[in-house]
Amino acid sequence: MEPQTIPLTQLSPGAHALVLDMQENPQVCYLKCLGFCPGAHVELVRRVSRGALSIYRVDDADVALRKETAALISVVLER
Amino acid sequence: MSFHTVAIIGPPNVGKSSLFNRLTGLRQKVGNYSGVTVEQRAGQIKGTRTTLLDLPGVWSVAANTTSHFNATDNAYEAEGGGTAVAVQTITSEDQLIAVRALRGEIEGQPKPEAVLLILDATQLHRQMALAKEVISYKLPTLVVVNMVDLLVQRQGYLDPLSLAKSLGAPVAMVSASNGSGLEAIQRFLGAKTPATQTSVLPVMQPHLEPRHAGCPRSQSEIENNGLYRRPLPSSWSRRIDQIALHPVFGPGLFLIVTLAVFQTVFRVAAPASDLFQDLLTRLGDGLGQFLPGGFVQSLLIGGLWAGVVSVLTYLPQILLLFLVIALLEDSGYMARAAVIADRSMHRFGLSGRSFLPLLSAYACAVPAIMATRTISSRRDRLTTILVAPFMTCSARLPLYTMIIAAFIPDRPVIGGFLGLRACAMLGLYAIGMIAALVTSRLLHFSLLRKDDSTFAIELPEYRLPLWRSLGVNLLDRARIFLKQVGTVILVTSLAVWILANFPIHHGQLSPIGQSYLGGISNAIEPALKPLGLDRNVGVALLTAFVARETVVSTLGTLYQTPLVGEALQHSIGTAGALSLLVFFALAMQCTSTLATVKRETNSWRWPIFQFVYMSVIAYSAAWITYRIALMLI
Repeated sequence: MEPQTIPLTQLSPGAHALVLDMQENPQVCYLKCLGFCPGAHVELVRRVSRGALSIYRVDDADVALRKETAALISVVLER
Repeated sequence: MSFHTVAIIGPPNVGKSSLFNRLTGLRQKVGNYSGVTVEQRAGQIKGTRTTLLDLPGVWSVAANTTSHFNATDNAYEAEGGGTAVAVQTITSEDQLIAVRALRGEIEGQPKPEAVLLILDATQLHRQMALAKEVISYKLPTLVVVNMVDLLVQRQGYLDPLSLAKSLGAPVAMVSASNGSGLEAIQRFLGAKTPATQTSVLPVMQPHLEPRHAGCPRSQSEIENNGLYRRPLPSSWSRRIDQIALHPVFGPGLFLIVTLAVFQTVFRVAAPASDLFQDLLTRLGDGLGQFLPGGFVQSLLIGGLWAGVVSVLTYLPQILLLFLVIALLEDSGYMARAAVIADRSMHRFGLSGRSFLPLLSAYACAVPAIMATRTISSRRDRLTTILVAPFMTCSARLPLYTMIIAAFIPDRPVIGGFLGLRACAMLGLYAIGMIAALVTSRLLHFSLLRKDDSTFAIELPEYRLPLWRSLGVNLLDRARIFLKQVGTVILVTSLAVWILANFPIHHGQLSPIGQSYLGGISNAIEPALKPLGLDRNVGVALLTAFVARETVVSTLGTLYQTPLVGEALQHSIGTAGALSLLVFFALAMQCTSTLATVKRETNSWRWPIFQFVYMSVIAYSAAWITYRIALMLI
């Protein structure tokens, strides 16, 4: 079965995923600097401010992303 | 012979500034890069003639763009318009400066002969891309791996010799917090060795594909090769975050920190400033007794000394506010506070980082505007600078208190829970805040339009702040304020003194009512009439440009009575008083703030815009208030 591609925003707390791709955006370069590169392991640590932001663990670092920012990143769920 | 100029570069939050401070001591010059608001720091390395340039924190120095600064409009643009991915990122302004500095393209700044590349030992696996990019500039480079003490503590490992071999550059293992390993840097700086890179080493070229620029995934070979083992994650940092970012406890902690900042600024800094002002004024009065009366005494004490006092009065507030902000920033909590505040601030076109500067503007806009340096996005920072003066600063309070006491009856409202006077005071605070938020929204959709609404912030691990670094930071702020803002305030104070005391008649200074200032008030009187204000109020509003809190005492002088409230009841009435309150709440009447905005934006364009915008808003709102009050009263 093909692994399902979802936006990063749809990850559940505690779930792990692999970064697949990112929509073109002025922030792409900065997000890559923060570790959101294709193939990177990412985990949703917790949601903050009623889901307006979320904390992701990527490359052993915790990064907060606004919902709109996380929506730019496509991931594949890890089993 | 040592190097003449050495650049210090590295990602944000790797202890670059601590190392810069350690190497230069207090021999630093702080300014802005030409045409942009990014701070430029240079200092002489202790015991040498070498100048150390502290470049902005960057994640990449990939030169994959041909962008250039446009100094006239204080912006930057990309030639060709299409390939500006790198320049439009959050760190773009910083990145562009770093690239240009390394190439020697910044006017008035020599090309560095060598580079100190600072990396974080606990994050090395994410910083190798930057290391390779910096080394590709082929300048003699020392890779300074900082925070090795933390790496060891958390069971990480680094083989410096293998890393040096892999990068083709010498590696120094240091800890800027305790000063260990710094002798290796001194040796490098004194050696003036030729470039250590060799052509056989796998040096990344600056022309990177934008999609891969700064991507650390391809750089994990230092772990694969066994020369680096990343440290275990800080378990207590994550435990603290379980509270700091908890849905209930997180906002609770944020509220406590906010109240602590507010209390520090209001209960400690503001009274300290008042006490300092009182002491300096008494000192001036004492000195005045030894001076011959008349012109000389008035010029030196009423003009020059009063100007010095108005400058120095801000110092306690600035130092305390910056101490609090530096503590929050260095400990790592500031990033969490920005996350908690972001949702509310985002609704008004701001980001979470704008919260603390705006909060501190309730005490004084001057330190608040200086505090916007913690905001990385240029647009968010400019918006915060432009709206901060709307927040009700403490200098507005004497006029508010006097007018409310004179015109608003002291009767309970809301079931006796609040008094009418307290409601009036809260209303004035609300007017300022609403004006700030509405302006922010307007700027967001017009002048400072931001098409994307992205926000990403790394949460650094919690650390104990370094006292030495905090001290140098505070000294920097004090020096910038006194040198670059203080001089403008002093000159303006003197100019207003001359306008308020000249021309000289029969060897005597003019009373304020017959001075040039009085003349100007006559000229603007027709404009004040529609607001229900008279000439005396006009004179007082003009003198308020130097210090808002002097309005009440100036009115006392002009009406020749200490009972200013009663005098206003007879001269402008309740409708005029309400109009004056609204005007005072919204007008930009502070030369110190304008001078600070000029310094922080590196341009006269923004303070002029701010002055015109706030004046128009204040005048219109005061006129509407006056008309409504006339109908109701």
